[in-house]
Amino acid sequence: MALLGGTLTTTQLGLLGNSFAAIAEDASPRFLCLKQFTMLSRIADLIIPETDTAGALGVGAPHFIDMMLADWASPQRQAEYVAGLDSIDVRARDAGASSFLASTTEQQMVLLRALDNEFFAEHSTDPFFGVLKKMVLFAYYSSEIGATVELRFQRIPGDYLPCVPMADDSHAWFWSQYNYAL
Amino acid sequence: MRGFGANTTMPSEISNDFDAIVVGSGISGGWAAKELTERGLKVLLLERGRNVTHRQDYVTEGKAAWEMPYAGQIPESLTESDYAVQNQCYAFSDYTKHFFVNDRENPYATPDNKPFSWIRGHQLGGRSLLWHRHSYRLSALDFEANKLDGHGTDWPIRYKDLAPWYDHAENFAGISGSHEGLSQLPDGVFQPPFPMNCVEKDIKKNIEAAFPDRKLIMGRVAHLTEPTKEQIALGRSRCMNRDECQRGCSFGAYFSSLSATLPAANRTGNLTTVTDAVVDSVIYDSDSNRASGVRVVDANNHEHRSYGARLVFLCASTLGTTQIMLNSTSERFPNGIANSSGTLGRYLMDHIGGVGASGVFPGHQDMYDAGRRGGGLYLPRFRNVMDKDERFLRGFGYQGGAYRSSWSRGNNTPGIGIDFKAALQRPGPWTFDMVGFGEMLPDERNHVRLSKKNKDSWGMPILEIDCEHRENELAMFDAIAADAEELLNAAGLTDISVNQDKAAPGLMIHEMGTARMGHDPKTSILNKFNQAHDVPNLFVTDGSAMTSSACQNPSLTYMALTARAAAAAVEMLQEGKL
Repeated sequence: MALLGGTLTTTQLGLLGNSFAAIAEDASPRFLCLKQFTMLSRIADLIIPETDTAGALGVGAPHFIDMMLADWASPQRQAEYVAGLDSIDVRARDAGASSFLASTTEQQMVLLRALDNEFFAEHSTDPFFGVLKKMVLFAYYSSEIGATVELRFQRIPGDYLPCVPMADDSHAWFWSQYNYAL
Repeated sequence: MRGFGANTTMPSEISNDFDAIVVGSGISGGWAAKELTERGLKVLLLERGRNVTHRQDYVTEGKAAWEMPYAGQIPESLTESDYAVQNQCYAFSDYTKHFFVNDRENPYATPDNKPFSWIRGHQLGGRSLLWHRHSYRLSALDFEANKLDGHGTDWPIRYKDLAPWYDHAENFAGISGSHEGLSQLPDGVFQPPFPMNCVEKDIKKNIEAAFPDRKLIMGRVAHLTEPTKEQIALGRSRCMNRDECQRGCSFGAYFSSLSATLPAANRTGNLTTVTDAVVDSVIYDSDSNRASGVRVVDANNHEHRSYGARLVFLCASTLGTTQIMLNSTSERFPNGIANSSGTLGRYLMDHIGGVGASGVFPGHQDMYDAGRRGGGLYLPRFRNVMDKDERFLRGFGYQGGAYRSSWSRGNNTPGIGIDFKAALQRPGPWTFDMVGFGEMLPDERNHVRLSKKNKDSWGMPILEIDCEHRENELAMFDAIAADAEELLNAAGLTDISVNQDKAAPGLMIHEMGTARMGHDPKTSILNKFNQAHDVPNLFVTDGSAMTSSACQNPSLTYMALTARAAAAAVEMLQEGKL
């Protein structure tokens, strides 16, 4: 099974901010409904955007996460994502928008930053944004582009070099984590 | 489907007349097979799990995350239904789960509020495929500990008895490490150690300057760094620094039964291996007072059969061996073979662990490392070595290491967007962590027994495991945490956090002691050659033989004890004593 099965291209990415419905119709999520999937895509894009390297959309993270929810996640986990995405939509409406997806990019960033700060606050009660962010990071950095272009990966290092000078453009190493709990 | 290892034969074709039967193919069983076949004995090796062929069956070896279903994650419902215990092991993942047992199919029982995490690998090679590879000698201090403080019974051997067998084990297995001249952690036959990175070197210097009685050394690990001719002849080569050992290593760079002992045994032409053979019990012949063979249940079709031999070596892991022995009842031994003392199943120990500390090293921001070193550092025991500690008996060591954190620190870092992504692209702070490994006292109350109600699907009464940390362990946990914090402060770390989460008994995967060695047949199961006091041709050389646990990772000691016992058994056999 390929992780990089995403169908969103960087060309489509450019459309995302404007034409969610068109993208959502093109995509064929297996677990999430179209609206949730489009929200997930937008959130993933805002957490890990395209820069000089591909972002979450460029590696197919939304499709990967949807596949994980369909085939990997427990029923409780599935329910957590459905409720969590809905609650983000509620927060967007509370802020005056008609929906999260109808908000401007700036409004979306303000909301996600607020959710991120709330997650790290001392008495955080809603862990969902942290769960979602962790999943987006996992999807991105576990992809071939994430591990080998964004980061660096050696399948068979050969030697252990204990002290290597870093250059200004040295990227972190990717390695597969032991028993990594999502 | 039935699986057989290399040089194996269908059960129906196997003669019923072996010199020796070895039960279990993990670290101890592999060594028993090697040592006995090399001394000319015809050996039948029985493994309850499936065959695993070195290289060919390392199905996830070298695979990157994006080449795995779910990027290396196991479906959550499957983990919950089938691997609830095994999932507690650090090495358990979708890359390795085929080398762990299915918990649903391999039940055991524990009292409420006394969890015991029984981590198992039922396949040819057993847990030698999965181990953490740290390999340390016990010291004179360890073999004298029980006698000195009165806990447990006295070891019937001393360090000098085992020292030449440690040499033998290290020489064959291939242990990399440094010579340090420490009385509490004797040096051995080492290949060159892995190097320390810059931060580790600084931390070593700082700790050793602050505490003259403490040393931070490179871990002694069963990774080849400079293979011998013998190791190369067995198809082994040096470590490639992938740190994915538990998936299996086609380089044969870490010691396992599949990379080392079984190829050595097979090349003698004296080894027959049968997998999928669950040993139910040892057959006792009262006329001769000997073990005459073993009863086996076929793992797949559940048919019963038996094998005979002049010598039986039980190497089925501590609790596996104990379960077989308890289930081997006869008129003479109604409570388990060789159990006239009643100590079989008692004095269960594991190391204590989980507690430690971590912090951030502020220097060397312009340096990092390359390659994934499979072994970390070791800080040998320093408590109750020269001075007596009033808080607890015995001691503990630490394992640890320094590394620059990678992308997953993003989970614990506020932020999203372009700057966040750019930051995660760079190596993170130098992080150093250390976790304690402490000695657990032998205590009669920590025990296993056979269930009177429940059997597994092979008809074996399941084990009831009743084990808990007691006063000495709890006091030691506190010291492990406090000393870790003090050490990391002295090391110059910042943002130090102490982890107080105690691992449940079993989870250190160093379970031992339930068929202990001792001088006295009235209070122990095995004599100084791992030979059953009661049944002279029955030998037990896995962790169940351990009279005390010390605090060092024990596998190297099992290797040495097994080789020593095999040599003694063959000598006795040749002298007609068995």
